Amino acid sequence: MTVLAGESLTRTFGDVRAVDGVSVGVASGEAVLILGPNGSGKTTLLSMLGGLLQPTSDRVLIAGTDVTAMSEQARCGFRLRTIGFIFQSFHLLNALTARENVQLVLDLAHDSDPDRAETLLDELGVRQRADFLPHAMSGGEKQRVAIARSLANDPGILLADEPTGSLDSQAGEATIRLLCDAARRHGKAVIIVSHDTRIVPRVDRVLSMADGRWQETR
Amino acid sequence: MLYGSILERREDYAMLKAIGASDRYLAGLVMRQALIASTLGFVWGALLAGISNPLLKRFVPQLSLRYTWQAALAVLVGTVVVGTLASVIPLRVLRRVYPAEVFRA
Ligand SMILES: Nc1ncnc2c1ncn2[C@@H]1O[C@H](COP(=O)(O)OP(=O)(O)O)[C@@H](O)[C@H]1O
Ligand SMILES: [Mg+2]
Repeated sequence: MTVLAGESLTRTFGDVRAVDGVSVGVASGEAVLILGPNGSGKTTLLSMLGGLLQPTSDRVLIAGTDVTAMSEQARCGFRLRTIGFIFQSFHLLNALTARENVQLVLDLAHDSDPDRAETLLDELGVRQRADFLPHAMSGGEKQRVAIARSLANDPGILLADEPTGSLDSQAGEATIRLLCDAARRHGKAVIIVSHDTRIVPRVDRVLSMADGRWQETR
Repeated sequence: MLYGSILERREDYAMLKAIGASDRYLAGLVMRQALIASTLGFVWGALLAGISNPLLKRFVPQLSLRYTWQAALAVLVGTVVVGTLASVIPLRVLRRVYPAEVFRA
């Protein structure tokens, strides 16, 4: 079942048509790769799909709800419960330990399960890092903590922008495996945006983007 | 100082907005930071006064001061009020941090 749908999304910045009439649907349990060179509009598309950026036209449906029609405040609460984000540069808070970085998201959603953060870190293989600050962790470990954080509120959708971009190939591969596991084992709809063709054989579906549109050769 | 600290952490705030922290939550964070910073400032000032005044009394008695608890309380309240009011500036910056910036950092 399609849980995330973008309908002829367009976004312009001044004269630049960063994304130009793109439609996409992703189902629960599916890992999709959006592949394309720098500047092709991948990040802009992902931002719209994640309710971070309003399209110039048309709309984004998440589980049938039009997120583009919501107030920013409503969209914010919706993101908290529905979408997990993963970033190239991890975006962990440097003053907080791994556990606290995950706990923060649980607190935002008023989830009071005291073991949840630890369980997630354990599932992602970084429980032994729970009380470490980000600067004491490797890039691969930081990304695992970030994935734990993205899963904290059990969202149906994971969106990752260049998740392997700051990692060596081994840590990058592990990251992709964990994201694909989230789709296969936990039924998440996963979108990975990257220009790294090594990810191609790992995902269920590949969409190629160029100049803000889908490329015909898939 | 707070203004500087929020700009330094602009990407942290963008990330927090992106993952679903409400403006209210973030405003609370900024206000709390302001409260802590100004209280620490007061404690630091009081410590300095406590150290310097006996020295002044001894060497330059004309400049030494007499502290009363009323004066200290007034300064504390003043510091906290001004410090918290000053957080209005970072709050305005905060409002103009967009969640989509998170992918640009
Ligand atoms: N906030 C913005 N302001 C101006 N131009 C932007 C902005 N975001 C993206 N663009 C432009 O849109 C195009 C697509 O960018 P982006 O979505 O980041 O591509 P990708 O992620 O594939 O590298 C580029 O030409 C970029 O310069
Ligand atoms: Mg990009």
